Amino acid sequence: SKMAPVKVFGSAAFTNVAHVLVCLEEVGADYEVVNIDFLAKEHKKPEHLARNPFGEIPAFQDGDLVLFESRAIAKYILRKYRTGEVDMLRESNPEEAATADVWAEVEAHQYSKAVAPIVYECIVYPTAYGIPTNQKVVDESVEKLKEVLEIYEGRLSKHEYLAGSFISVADLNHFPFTFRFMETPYASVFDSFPSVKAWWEKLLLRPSVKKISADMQKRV
Amino acid sequence: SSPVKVFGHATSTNVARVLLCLEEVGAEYELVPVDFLAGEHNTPEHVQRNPFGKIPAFQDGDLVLFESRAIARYILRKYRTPGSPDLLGENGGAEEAAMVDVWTEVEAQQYHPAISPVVFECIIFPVMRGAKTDQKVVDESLERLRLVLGTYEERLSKSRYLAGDSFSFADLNHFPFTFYFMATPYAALLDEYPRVKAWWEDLMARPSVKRVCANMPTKFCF
Repeated sequence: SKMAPVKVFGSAAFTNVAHVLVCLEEVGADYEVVNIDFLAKEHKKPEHLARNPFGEIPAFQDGDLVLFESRAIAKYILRKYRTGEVDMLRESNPEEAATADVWAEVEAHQYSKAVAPIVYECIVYPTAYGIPTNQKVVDESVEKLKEVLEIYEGRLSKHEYLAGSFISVADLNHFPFTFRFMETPYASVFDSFPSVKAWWEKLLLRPSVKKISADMQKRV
Repeated sequence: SSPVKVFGHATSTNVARVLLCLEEVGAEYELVPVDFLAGEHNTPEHVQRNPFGKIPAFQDGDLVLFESRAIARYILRKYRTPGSPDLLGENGGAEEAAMVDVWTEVEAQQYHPAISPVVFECIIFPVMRGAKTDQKVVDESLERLRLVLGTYEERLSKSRYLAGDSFSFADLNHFPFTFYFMATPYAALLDEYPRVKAWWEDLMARPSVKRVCANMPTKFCF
């Protein structure tokens, strides 16, 4: 029987929502996007707090199961819809799963910590909140990002993907913030890291990434 | 087969996370010190294990890993025995595993950013750098932590543990920084959240936690 579409609460304009959507596209699942009116603070109202007690976007629903935290939702999707061809978690192979986990953790704790402030200062704060860019934060983050990309260059000069020879959740997790980063004036930082740049450009060619990139370009 | 190796020292929060998992599954391990003061974390040998020059790093035969949560998951999958608890919830089906993942992310994305600055300002920076506590950072973090603990109190009124009725990796991940938080002047904050306090005391009573605690200081000189 056909599985009922899952629901994603929040719009693709948000990086954490885009993260979930790109996973759904990779596995070819049916889904429905339910908009949450951020400007009207709908994410802080009881109906959404019942889905995500921290009042954040996204939330996710599959039948009776309600989840939040985009990385947890991503894992659920990639696990549930895993096939012989699309296996982004490799959980039946502890060594491969571990290597994918390593670089997913690197994204969360090293990469995002450098990229996110640049995206927030250059795009989110000025356009959504009318707050001017804090150039000191940007400059420090760009320096931090270069250190991180140096390490990524080392990894991706030896391996096609972050976890090795196979694409995994680790690569996908990088898509949303990197997409937004490429919209800032600092995109050319990647030019000094040719293996990283090649990896990114290859990710951009994936049908899932093309689809969600287009959705991310429509502003809220 | 030879014991796995953990590179780092037992007092490190992220090393403790890994040691807890090894103790939970009863795997044999060897703790190999990394001398930070001597710059050992920046030597080619260590950078080959952890390119970010941090601890822990981990070795199991030919497999070398870093990032404590990735190491932890590997240990819990690879070394699980029929007698050890299903901490990842993977035998419970996709829903149970998902709830473990959700509250593991909550620890990393909500709890940790609120509690860790208090630990850094009150213990880690004074001990390691002789720095003075930045009270403004502490006060802002405590306000943030109160909101998080309020949500945890609500959650623990609905389920025995964070991910559901069974103890899981999600609960375990809270140990290292909370342990040190309880050694700061702000430990009494937990008393305002009785279910959280009971959940914490339950965690501290676990044999694995007691064994790891034995190597972590509760008093600091600075």
